[in-house]
Amino acid sequence: MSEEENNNIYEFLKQLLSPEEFELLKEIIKNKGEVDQKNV
Amino acid sequence: MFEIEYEIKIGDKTYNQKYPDENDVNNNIFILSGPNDRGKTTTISLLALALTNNNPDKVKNENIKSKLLFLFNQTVFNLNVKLKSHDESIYIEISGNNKNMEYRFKDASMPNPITVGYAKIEDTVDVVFETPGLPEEKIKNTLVDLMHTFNQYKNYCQKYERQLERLIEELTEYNNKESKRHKIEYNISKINNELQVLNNQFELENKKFEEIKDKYAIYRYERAQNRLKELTNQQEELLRRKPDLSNYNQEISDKLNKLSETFSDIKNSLLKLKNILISYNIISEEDYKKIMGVSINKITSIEIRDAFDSLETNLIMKQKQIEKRKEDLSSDWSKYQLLESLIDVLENFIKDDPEIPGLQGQKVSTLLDLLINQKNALENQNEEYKMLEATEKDIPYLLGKIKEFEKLRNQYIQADNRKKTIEGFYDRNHEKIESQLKQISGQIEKARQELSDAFTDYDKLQNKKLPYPPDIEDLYLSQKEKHDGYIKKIEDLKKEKEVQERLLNDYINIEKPNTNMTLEEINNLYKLAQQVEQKLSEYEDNIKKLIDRNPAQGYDKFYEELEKYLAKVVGTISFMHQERKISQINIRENYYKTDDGEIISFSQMGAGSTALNALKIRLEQLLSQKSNKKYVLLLDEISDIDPANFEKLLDFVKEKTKNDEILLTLMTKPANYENVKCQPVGV
Repeated sequence: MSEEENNNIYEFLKQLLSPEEFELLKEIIKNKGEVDQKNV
Repeated sequence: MFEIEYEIKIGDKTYNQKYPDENDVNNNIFILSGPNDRGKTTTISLLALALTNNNPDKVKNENIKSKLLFLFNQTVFNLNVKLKSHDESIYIEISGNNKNMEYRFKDASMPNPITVGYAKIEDTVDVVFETPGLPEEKIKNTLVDLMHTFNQYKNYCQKYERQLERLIEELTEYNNKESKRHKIEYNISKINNELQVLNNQFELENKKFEEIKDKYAIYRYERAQNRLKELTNQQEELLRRKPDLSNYNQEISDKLNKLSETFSDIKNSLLKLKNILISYNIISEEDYKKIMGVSINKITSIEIRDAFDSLETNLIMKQKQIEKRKEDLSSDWSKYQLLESLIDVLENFIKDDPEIPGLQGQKVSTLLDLLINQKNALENQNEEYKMLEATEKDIPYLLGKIKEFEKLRNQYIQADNRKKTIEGFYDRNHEKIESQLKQISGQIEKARQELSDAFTDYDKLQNKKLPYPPDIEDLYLSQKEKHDGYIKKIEDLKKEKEVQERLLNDYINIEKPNTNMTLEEINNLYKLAQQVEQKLSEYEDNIKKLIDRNPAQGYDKFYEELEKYLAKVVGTISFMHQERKISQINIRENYYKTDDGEIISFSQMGAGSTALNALKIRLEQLLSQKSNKKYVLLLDEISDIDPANFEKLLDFVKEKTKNDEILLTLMTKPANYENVKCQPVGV
């Protein structure tokens, strides 16, 4: 998926999710579901 | 003429492709037909990349641009392309990969192709990339893609949640263990405090106990000595009361031995005199067998006494008769002696057998025969005489032994009676005294042990004199109870401490889970991830319902944002000969809304003549521009155009190809073939 398409989806989800939910989802997507040890 | 050959790697998979067949290369219009996901769009996209020098931004359509970007960024490809116009006025050769494209070019004025820069190609060729299908279909595909994307995100969320669950589990376990560890450490510290207090108390009590213990040691030793003495006296007293039968037993035993010896002598004598005694009726066969066969313990019996009485009487009575008989036989015995002597003399002469002088010519042998006959006639008398002669001493001996036996027997019976008399008295007290003696003996053994034990402590005092009060034992026992109580409490606490310390070992090396967050924070994060997953699931469901033309109720905000998203993805539409930038695509009511606020319904954009016209008009617009450029027309997914309209489009393209305005037209169309076919369309 292109960056632009990703941005479009992110923008879409940003409008629907709370800021905390959105930030978490971004991190989950970025790491493909792997928990980033730095953040926990 | 057209030819494309490429190799493409996506991930660890490699695909090779070459279109069209050698027989068909001289055509300029082709339709790629085949099942989905077999590289039809990839083929036209690679051609577009080759013609834009790997620069997707040169393609205006956003959908196509994103496809090209995907190919450019996420695959590795090598390709070769050959293109010749219908009138053969220009020829282009392109070869290259993601990093670099090389171009060779030839026009009618040139004998052979030469290497050129991309600028030459850009000046000569323009690429038109279109997807002329129905708007609803295109949007539906976008929605399906979005649904898949959300599903993917949902999977990521689930994966994330599983990891948090594990972390929560590990952290909970860790916290539990830590809590247990703290509790055990607290227990140990509590025990240590208790031990300290108890040890202090014990020290004071022990001092008191040691003082009393020394006094008690003296008391105990003295008491043990007294007790042993008392018991020994009791034992001696009992022993005095117990008669000693050993002398009686010895006497009886001695007498029985003598009696037995005498009886044995009598038996030997009887054996020797058996014939005389039987033949003279001195003893009956029955009495003889009785005496000879009696066992030693029956020799004092009445039967034996009677047998001996009878034997003694008979012996005395028959003694004279035997002497008389012996005298009677004495002359025969003398004759027998003479005959024996004469026979011995004559036997010396028997060899020559002379005549005996004075006996009127009788020979020795004649006289010897006569004498032997005389001797034989006296043989029985001689034997009887010898036997009687032998009894001369034996009978008085036997009589003497019988008298001795009777005397000894009487003595034995008297001794035995004496013993029995004593035993009669003894039997009555026997059990009581023996039981008391046994009891005393056990008590003495214990008293000795007690004395030995008491001595150990007493000896340590080295004859120190310590006066003790009369109630020393009570004092000692009471203090000992306290003392032992403290020891037991201390021992119990130490054991409990060991138990706790062993338990603690299990909790010393607990590895902390790799997290800086608290359990509560992780739980909150987990709940948040679940919320996100739940919402994504709802969004996925909402999209599915929208595709099924049954939008979910109460999700207006969601659908509004979705429509804005679709507008961004689609970007522009071509309508009434114009590109329009759109701000919203209302899928629930099937219309586009342009930036200018104009509403264009999907039906106005339909795939019939409107869609075709839009494409045709766009192409006509492009072709009418005063330009020397030739067009490469790439049309993806022409299936959404109905057949009649498609024929119209094809006629238009054929005409423009013959006019040499279109260099190549490559179209894709789904079909149920096994493989993709590259079908030429004759001009």
